[in-house]
Amino acid sequence: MRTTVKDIMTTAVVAVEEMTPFKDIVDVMHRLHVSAVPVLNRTGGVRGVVSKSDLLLKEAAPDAGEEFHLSPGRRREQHKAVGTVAADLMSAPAVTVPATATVEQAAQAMCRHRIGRLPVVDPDSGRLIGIVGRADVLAVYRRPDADIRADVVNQVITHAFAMDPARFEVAVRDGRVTVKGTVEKRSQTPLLIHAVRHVEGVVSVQDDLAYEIDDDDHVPFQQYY
Amino acid sequence: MRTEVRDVMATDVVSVGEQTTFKEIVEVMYRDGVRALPVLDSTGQVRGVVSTSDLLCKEADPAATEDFHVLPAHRRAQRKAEAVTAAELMTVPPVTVSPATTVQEAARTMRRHDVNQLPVTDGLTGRLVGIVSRADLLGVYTRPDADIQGDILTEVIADRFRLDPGRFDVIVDRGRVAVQGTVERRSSIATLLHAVRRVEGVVSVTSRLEYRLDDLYPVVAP
Repeated sequence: MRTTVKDIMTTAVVAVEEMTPFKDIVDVMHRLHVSAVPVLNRTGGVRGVVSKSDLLLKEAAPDAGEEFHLSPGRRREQHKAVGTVAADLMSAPAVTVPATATVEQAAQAMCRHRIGRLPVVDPDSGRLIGIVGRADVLAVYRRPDADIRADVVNQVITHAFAMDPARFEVAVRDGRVTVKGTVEKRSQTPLLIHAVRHVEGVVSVQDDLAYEIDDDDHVPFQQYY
Repeated sequence: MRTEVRDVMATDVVSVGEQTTFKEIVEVMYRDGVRALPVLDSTGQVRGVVSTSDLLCKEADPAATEDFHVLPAHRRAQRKAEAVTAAELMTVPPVTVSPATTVQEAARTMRRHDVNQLPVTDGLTGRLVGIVSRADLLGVYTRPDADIQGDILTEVIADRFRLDPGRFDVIVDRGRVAVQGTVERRSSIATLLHAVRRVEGVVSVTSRLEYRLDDLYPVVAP
């Protein structure tokens, strides 16, 4: 079973309203030790997210209001630097994930949008039900090595590839997997390694796989794995 | 007095070595509840910083090694996704500040380099003495309104501008300042407001200032 966002999210989520003043947001962040708060509109929909970086723009440029900028990016920053309520300070539209998304999808959204926290919404109603941070996502790497090994042997080798697990030697140390053994066809090697990499908690994969039949007689390019 | 980095930084810094493995880094972050760790070499110099965002690349794209990228930024993300030690994962060169840096300058550095933590190094020896995060810097906004008002009246109005503080009404509500009163020349309004904005903890400034003498040339609309 793959972990979904629902399993790792924090449900005690603090949100602010569009008209919450700057200092109240700082106080909430300090008191509750959070680095970003979702901004809700009156109907409970997520309008945006205020993070510490949004607030820090004011400290970085206290007299931003005195400047004139042409580039839209600078103007957006300027708008935030002079803002006094959540609606002016937030990054909008909010990047949210549905509770049913996988941890991998959440990590992808964080990397792509370069943000550290994602509000989690109910897939049906769209209402805020939690928040997920980078640290929550990284928790998948705390999985015990034995669990990872069991997943590789049972789910990948036996189940997904329908191979005999006795023909393989799987070792896991600190999340680093080494697979030794013999596959039937050479073309199966990259597919198998690809599947092992996607097992939760795997840091890296090293393979020492032999094959019985070379069915890959025209490899057009170096395989990048 | 402006707050310096040395006043707000955390001095009990957790750091890792260059050969620390991925999983050990995750464990240290969990154990100590930190989001970024300076990576030290054997002589104690800061070589780089490894943060949760560096680690996240792996989960976002576990099969990154199978791809081929042309863009340098993509290749960098790819290298991090396949990395297993701190030296490979860290962001280099490290962006550091000295203990005497002002909070404002540190905030600018964070924004410019798009980082959330800055290792603080001794200017002479280059050794790690602390770390400062966004939360530490935002601490200046928890200043009580009365302190802000006091600074504006004594430091800005009385000391710097040599005006009589009795002629001004300064109201501070949750960091939002409203200045009321009369200045001699119209031209000094802008410089006065500029100075007020830079008082620590000020969120915004509203001017209700009047002037006796209009010494500004007519401004042509831009």
